[in-house]
Amino acid sequence: MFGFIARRIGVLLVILFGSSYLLYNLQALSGDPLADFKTSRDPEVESQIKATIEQLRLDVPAPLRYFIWLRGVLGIFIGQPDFGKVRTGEPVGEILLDAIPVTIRLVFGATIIAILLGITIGVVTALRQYSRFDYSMTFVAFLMFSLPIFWVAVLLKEFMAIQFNNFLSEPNIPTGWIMGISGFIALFFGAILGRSRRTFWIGFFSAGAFTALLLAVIDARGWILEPGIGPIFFAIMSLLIAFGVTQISMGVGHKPSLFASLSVAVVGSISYFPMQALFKRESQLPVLLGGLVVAFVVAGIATFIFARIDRGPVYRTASITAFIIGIIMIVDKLMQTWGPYVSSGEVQYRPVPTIGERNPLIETTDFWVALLDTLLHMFLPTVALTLIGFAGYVRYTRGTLLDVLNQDYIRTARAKGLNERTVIMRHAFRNTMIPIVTLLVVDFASVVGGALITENVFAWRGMGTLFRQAIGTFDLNLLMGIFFVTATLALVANLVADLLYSALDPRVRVGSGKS
Amino acid sequence: MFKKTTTRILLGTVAAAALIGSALVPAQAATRDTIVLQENNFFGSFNTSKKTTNVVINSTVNSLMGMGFWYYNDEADIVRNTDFGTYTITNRKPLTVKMTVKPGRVWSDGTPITAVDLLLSHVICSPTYSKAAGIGDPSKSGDTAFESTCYTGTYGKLVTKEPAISGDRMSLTLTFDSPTPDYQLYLPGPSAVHGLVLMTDGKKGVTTNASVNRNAKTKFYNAYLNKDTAYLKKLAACWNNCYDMSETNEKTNNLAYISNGGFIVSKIVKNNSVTLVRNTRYNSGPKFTGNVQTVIIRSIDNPTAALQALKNKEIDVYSGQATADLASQLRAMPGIRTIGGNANAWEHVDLRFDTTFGEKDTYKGVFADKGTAAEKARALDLRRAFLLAWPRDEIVEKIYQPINPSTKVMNSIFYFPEQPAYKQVVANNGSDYYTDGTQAERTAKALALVKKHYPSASATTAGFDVKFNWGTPTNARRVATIALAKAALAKAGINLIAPGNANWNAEPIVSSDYDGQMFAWVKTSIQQSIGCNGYTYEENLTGYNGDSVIKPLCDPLVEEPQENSLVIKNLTAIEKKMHDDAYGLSVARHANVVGVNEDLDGIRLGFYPQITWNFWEWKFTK
Repeated sequence: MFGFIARRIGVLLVILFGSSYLLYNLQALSGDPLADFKTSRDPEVESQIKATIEQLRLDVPAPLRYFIWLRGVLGIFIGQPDFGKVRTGEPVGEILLDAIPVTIRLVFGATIIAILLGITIGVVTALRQYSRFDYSMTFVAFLMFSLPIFWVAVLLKEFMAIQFNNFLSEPNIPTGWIMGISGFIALFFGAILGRSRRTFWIGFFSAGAFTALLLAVIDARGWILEPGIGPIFFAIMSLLIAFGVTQISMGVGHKPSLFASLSVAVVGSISYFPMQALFKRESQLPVLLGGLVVAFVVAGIATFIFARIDRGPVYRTASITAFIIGIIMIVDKLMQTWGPYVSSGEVQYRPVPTIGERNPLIETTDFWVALLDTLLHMFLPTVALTLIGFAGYVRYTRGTLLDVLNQDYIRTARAKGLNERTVIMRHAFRNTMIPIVTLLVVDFASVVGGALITENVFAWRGMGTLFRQAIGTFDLNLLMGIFFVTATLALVANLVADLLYSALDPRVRVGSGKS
Repeated sequence: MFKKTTTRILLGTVAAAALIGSALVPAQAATRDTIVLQENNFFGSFNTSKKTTNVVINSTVNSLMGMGFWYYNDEADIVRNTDFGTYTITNRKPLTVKMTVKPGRVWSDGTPITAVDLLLSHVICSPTYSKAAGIGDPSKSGDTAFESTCYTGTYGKLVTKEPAISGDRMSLTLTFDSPTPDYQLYLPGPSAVHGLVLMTDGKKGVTTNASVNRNAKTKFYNAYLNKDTAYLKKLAACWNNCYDMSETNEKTNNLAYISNGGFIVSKIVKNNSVTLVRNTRYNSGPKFTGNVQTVIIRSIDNPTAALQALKNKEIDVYSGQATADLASQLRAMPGIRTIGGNANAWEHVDLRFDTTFGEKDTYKGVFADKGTAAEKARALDLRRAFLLAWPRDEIVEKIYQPINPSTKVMNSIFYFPEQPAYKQVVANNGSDYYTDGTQAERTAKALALVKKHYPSASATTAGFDVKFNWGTPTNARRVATIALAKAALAKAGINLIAPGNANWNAEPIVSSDYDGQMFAWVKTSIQQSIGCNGYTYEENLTGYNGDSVIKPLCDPLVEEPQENSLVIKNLTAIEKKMHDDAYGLSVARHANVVGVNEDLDGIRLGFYPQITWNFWEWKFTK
């Protein structure tokens, strides 16, 4: 294992060295950093040229100049990396450190959501092969594939920000809209659930009626401006989540799992009250981390009480339940923050922004207001990137799962009498993930450098903006800094993918290569 | 019993309805007091007199933080800022101006503003002083201690004598070497020199300790008077660096932004925004009549994103390059008011005559005004044909009027159609040669002139080529103009070669590679000196020499302020001469369009700066 990783890191360094040397020289050949001065009429141009040559070490030919850069970068091993300076004088390292978190914030959520949504819909379309749902999702996936992000962004801004904010100034949902939305939701769930005409209509009507009722209540109670879940609904939701998670993982028939999750849900519902007080404390990080630890401990205790054998899967079920309930509690707190946030003088009933990373008007130390503001600013870029990104996962998952379902061992599993849930989730899905992991890991690495247009459209200042600046100004140091980060990430991502293979696929073993 | 139940039900219903009703009506938010402006670039420095920091957003921030002796209003007039001080001409020959700061004016830290604060401007702009004080010779590149771009400006050429400060240190007397009708443009503005001294001495943080600030100011004054080379060099090192900052944090030294304007910086978020709050000690300009307490300037460089941000009320003012598309989008936007109309720039077409003054290479193109009388007559015919065929009506109708429907073809070289004197000038300036008849008739006339010298020319066969310089290929307005012109000129047998020039902004406009050029002049506010100087042989960009007529008409206007009737008479005569020689034609005044949140009153488009000049009038009505 360690031999394998060490060898891979060695290869990684060689690839990094080779590709950076190549890129450095190609980029140095591609443009002249002094081009601006050659057409300048400034009387001081001579001294500026001299200063630039000195600053960028243009007196040294590029193939040798590379080693000056490399010497700085190698400082990484003694803890003092020097990526050089950009042409305006700031150190490249600092600029990258400013930009990386921004880009990660931009693409991280979107990638996670795209993966979850894409894989879920992919699985459902595979299980409902050649159904209307399958065809509709295929259509949507290809549509999303073909949309340019700048255009999606403009539409999203118009409808989900500008129009929604206009709507918020008088938040009455028209009856027509209630019917339309309910109809859409009804069709969606009817199609997912419907294997026969009867299940279709049951899914259709229950989902439709539930949505319509929910929207009507939301409308009548003015919930949009003062949302919140409240302790009673929170308890109901917790129990439903316990049932749902158990059903997917072990089946509700598995009593230890069900009881463990249900007791986690009960403890979660009771802890709703003390948490409200804790959420008011000034520093929230210990509260959140502590809450997470407590949740997992509670899940452990519940598992210990209810399960005698096979505790692993039971604990997994209980802790997933606890985690989701915790997320809901945070969502509830954010909902409580929403009302004061939206009506504040800084927001003026226009909470969904179209640009930027945060509202410059808001000067608050309140954790929840700041979090809500950040999340709202992430909303549109995340939706845009998700829409574009999830289509790939849908297609990959569907294709792979169908492939797997036709394998012999699935037939064997069915033949030995396993129920469908176990066949799909335990036997088929796990093998489906193997090729998906490749896509997933490469996606993570490439998005860091690749959100160039998204950043521009939403006025975020991350790696994409830097990249554009580096190309536009022939800034070799900056470009190499960006390359260094993205290339390292890509190579590390491949390493992670290899390790994940071995975790997912029993046929793959990582070792020193001798055995 | 029955009644009781009914009443209960009724009461219950009413109560429930009231509850629902109260939940439905959103509470009305208080009147806004924060205005959000938009800029393309990121904030980087409070010092805009360096080459690297002369960026629009930096100037915008500075315009909110500083007031001087005058400002431009929205009609491009210079308005004397008597709240800050006064200036008077004390002597005409040589022109001597005495500027007096009104007593009691203070910086944002409470330090009184005196004439000493006006001296930094002289230090960074005067080559004479720089050489005398031993802090570098601006004529040698990279030699000066202050990295100022001002040394090469007009001020340094006009003022070589050292300004004198009065005994009470409230007045500064400036002596100009030559007569300068536009002298107001060169009057120095105040800088918080005590801040510079304190930063140079390694101090951190603004202090309200009056004696510390007073001593710092005196230290600057002494260094200035004694030409203390060593200390001036230290000041220069700080001046070059101390004002640069892209964000505010715990390391920020707020001595770098002492303000005497209406606002003062409170927070800068790197690459994102600059927040300014009211300067509570502001008394250097007109009193606030509006209610804006905070100004935020956000950096958004994608125009579509900025436009949608305006629609979403995330920004309150948006001004991009005025295109027909932008104008129609802004007009269609609910909740947005468009302001604008005319800009103070106008587009014009100039043709080459000869090598320009001081130029090395020589112009030998089709329009060259040299050689024998027959050759000169031929060039004149071709220039006239070119100008006759240039489709000004169509350009204005298709490109300018969609932005501003009242834009007209401009037939005067010096006057805008909106000016009172315009009609009188146009009637006598010889422009009727280029306006008579329809465009079709003018094109026919042009073709006849071309045929005289190129018999084979026709509406389908080009007689000769014209190489034309007009700007970068990304300038949408000019791309459209050139497309129309190329088609129209072809009908007169002229082949227009005008692919655009990506280096337009970097290269001099004067170039013998081209036979003509199109660009925009920006009008400064003082009428009489603009034109004359610009069109004499020494000054113009085409090599045109009409000095025998133009110079005598121009000289009295350049010397000193004259009666308006004489100005009109002389300028009309100059225009007549230039039109007769087919120097060039004006096309139209640029149109401007700016979208403003309709709840915001008081935004009027100024001359410079465009948006922030009247910050004291900004007012939210909702």
